[in-house]
Amino acid sequence: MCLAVPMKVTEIDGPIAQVEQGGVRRQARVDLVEGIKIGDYVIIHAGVAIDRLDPEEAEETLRLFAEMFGDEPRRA
Amino acid sequence: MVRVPGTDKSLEEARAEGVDLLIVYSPMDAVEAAARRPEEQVVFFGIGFETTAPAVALAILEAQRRGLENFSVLCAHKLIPPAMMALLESEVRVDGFICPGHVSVIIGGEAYRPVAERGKPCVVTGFEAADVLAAVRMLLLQLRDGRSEVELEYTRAVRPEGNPKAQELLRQVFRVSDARWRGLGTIPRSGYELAEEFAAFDAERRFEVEPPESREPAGCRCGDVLRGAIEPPECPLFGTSCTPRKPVGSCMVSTEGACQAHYRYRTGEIER
Repeated sequence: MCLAVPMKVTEIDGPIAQVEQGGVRRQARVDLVEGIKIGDYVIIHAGVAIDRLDPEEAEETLRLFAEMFGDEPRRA
Repeated sequence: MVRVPGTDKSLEEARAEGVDLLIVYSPMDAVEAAARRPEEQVVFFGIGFETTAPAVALAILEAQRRGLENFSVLCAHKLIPPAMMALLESEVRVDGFICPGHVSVIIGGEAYRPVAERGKPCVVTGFEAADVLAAVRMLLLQLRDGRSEVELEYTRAVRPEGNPKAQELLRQVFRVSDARWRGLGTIPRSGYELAEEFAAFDAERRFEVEPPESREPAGCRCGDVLRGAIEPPECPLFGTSCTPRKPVGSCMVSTEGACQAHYRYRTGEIER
């Protein structure tokens, strides 16, 4: 029910943006995300960007996973 | 949603009997459907938690902007923190909470503070297997140290304050109300209804339908599973009359349900 996926913003037209991930392209509302810009990664749920993903925090999380689980960093 | 067993039947069964059921990816698609079919009434079934409610709110505002008179929402949204507080009032023993990541994107980690203040550690968690392991570790460390705090594991998406724009939208379109939860009963102030200003889009007010009292299938113990009072195999229907292929209770319907997860992974076999 609360499935949501990270997608990259490729075009913005007012409250609506084109987003894509892994070859899938979609239209999504992005007006709930402050200061949205092309190249941002957003979390898409039911056609709405609910917020932006923080790339620095994502890197940090991968580093922590590697530290905790002794694994090579992978994409999260 | 379409496969969830209702009191008499599922939406899927109703569709087989001729009900015009449209499955959409986004609530906005239902608004588009209403715009395309002006002669018909389109009712969107608004389910989900704080993650989903903003999308439904946007759809209602869009329908209002377009002046659509044939779009309405059957509003059944539920709120997570009141349900957690209700669990604490029950006899169920909970040591700590893995808090839902995408709900928390909207409401923020701070929303769980009342739970932490009741002595239960909370960790807001992402969706990778490693996220869950990391969160369990964080919970264990809190328990070991005798702490009870709200911590964020899913920091790449969740902030303590959540998404203020989404929260403002929710306050504009909805009002907090008592809500009935399947298997749990009524929990005070744990759901949304449409604000008076949007009454025209409220399917319950637009159509005079008096639904019969809802009831769970005989023998189904989804409520106890949901509260963590029993493990899925302790239900007499589990794996016999209730399977992912033919679910009786709501916990067996989707991969997110406790019963289906248990069914799929208990033996290491994965049903395709």
